[in-house]
Amino acid sequence: MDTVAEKIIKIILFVLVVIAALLFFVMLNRKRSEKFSIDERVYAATHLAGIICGAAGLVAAFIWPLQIIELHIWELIILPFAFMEMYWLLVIRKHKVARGIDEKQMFDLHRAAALAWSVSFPLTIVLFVLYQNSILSGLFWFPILIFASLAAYCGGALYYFRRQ
Amino acid sequence: MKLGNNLRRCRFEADNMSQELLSKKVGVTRQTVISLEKGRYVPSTLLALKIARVFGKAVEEIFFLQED
Repeated sequence: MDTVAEKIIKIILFVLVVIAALLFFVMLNRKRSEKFSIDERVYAATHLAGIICGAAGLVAAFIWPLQIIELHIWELIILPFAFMEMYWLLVIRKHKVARGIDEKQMFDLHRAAALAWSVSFPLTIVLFVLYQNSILSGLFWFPILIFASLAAYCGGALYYFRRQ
Repeated sequence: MKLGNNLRRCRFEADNMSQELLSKKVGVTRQTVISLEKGRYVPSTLLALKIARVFGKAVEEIFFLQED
């Protein structure tokens, strides 16, 4: 049975997701969406948001190891990044992939994905060992893994993008 | 071997074309043009051809192989 706090958070999350989904489909069919485009500032801002969300999630996972799952705090933390990614999808779908991101950005994202994998793979092994030895328990692994991967991916994308 | 380029010179010769304008003409970000000029990024064949077309030159006049 959900507590009052859980119910409130779930309602907030539901409303935000519904609004975002509505905006996504409404903007696809309106001329106003022609004004939106992906430029390097949006690309950089999206990945900066990802780094912040990832870092915040990791901190929250250590401060509130139980509540971050039970109270759906992890979803609230990841929402800003999720909304910015939805904006990307909107523009890519509207303007076709060719104008969504350029080839170097795609190349940078591939490298960032490789970096995120190289972080998440050993981290998964470490978490597995900790769980096997009963040092950790419960769902603590989930926010650690998801936010560490997010921070590594977005950090890598931003680093490769800005590295000149 | 690595890829060298005369991108900056070509922009200068084309009425001092800005990186921003070149990026818009070929459909990439300004950061990509910066990376190209600094030799940090190797363009795809398509992008190299688009750049060559903008300057009205052959690809080999803009991009060339360099010994390390």
